[in-house]
Amino acid sequence: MLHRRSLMLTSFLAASTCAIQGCVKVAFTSPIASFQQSVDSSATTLQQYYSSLNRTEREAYLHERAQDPRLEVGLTDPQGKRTPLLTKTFSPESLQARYDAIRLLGLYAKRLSDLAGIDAPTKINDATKLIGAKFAGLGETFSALAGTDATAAKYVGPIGKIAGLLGEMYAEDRRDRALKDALEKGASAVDDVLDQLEQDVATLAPLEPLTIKTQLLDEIAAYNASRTKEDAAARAARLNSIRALAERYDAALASNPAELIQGMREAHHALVKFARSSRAPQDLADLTAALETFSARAAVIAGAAHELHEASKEAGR
Amino acid sequence: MNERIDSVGLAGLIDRLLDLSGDLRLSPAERAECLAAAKRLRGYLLNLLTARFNQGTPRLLEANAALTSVNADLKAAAQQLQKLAATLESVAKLVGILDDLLRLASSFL
Repeated sequence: MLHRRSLMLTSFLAASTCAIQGCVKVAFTSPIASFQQSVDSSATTLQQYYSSLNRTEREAYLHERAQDPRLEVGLTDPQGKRTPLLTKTFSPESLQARYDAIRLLGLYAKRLSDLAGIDAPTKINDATKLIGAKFAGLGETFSALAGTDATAAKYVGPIGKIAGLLGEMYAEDRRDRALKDALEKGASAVDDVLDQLEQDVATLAPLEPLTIKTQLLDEIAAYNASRTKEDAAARAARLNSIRALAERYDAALASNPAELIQGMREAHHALVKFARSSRAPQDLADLTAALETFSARAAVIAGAAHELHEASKEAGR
Repeated sequence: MNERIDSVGLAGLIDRLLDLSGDLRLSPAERAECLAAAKRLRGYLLNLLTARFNQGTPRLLEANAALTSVNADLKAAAQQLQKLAATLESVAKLVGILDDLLRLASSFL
């Protein structure tokens, strides 16, 4: 009797464990997939943000001349400096290196999550290896930019470390050692890259809202100066332009990418903490909560950045 | 070669000047003066944001000290508008300092 009870209890426990493990597998896969999506959308948002800086400068240059007929339009100004009409204020090569740095972090996080997963690590297919190989020379790219780009040198060390580690993570077939190496060598390098990206973004962040606000106040001044000389239709057109600029200003404030970097850092810390944990249900719950917070934040900022991107394109037509 | 302009202070100053240029308690001439100063400073911000200077560059120290002081004055002037004229003179002096500083900048993003 006692033996039968013991067998029943063992079967029940085995069934329960399987059910819990199955549940954990599903629960782990879902937040990691959404984390990947959030990293990808963050990289796209930052790319849109950086590329809009050059467009906003060109637009500001033309807007200023629309308001002030004394100012001529040219490719080089009277002081001999290239104008933003055809010259990019921010170097496309420097900006591209930063988008690639963000995508490299996404790839690192993906591989880390594969290694830390409940299942055996996902088999790396050739396409994923190719993506990894694309970043192998990113450290050298930053190194070459260091002559003209003030902060590029600070990326060289940590980017080289992550890119090198990523190669080892693909080659390494012993999961435990690969995970240990990824955590010991990679985690601080990822933090270093995120710190530098955050500093770069924080430096540039005030520029776009201020540029749009300057155009807004320019339009307001023009309206106030001409309102008694124009008919209702002309006044309505000016007021529409003021409203559009006020809305773009709101969107520029809401799409501050510094918060994206902060979200990415918190999500990465949660992933590292999970990889070091015993993978208990509470560890998974903590990871899921952190990744969901990042996803939600990334979605809000991506929405605002998209709105700003569309409004800027509209304004440029 | 790693010293920088106080870009947060400069951006804050431009923002305050833009707010004042839309403040209908000011005369049209005062508003125009604030807007012109804001536009000039925005041009400097664009160029100085990523510029680096040698440590202890006297003009940079002077610019950062002037930025702190002008920002404080402008904040006070926004509360007591009769102080605005004197503060706008300080802004004009700051523009001169930044103009010099720009010639010393070394590298940009």
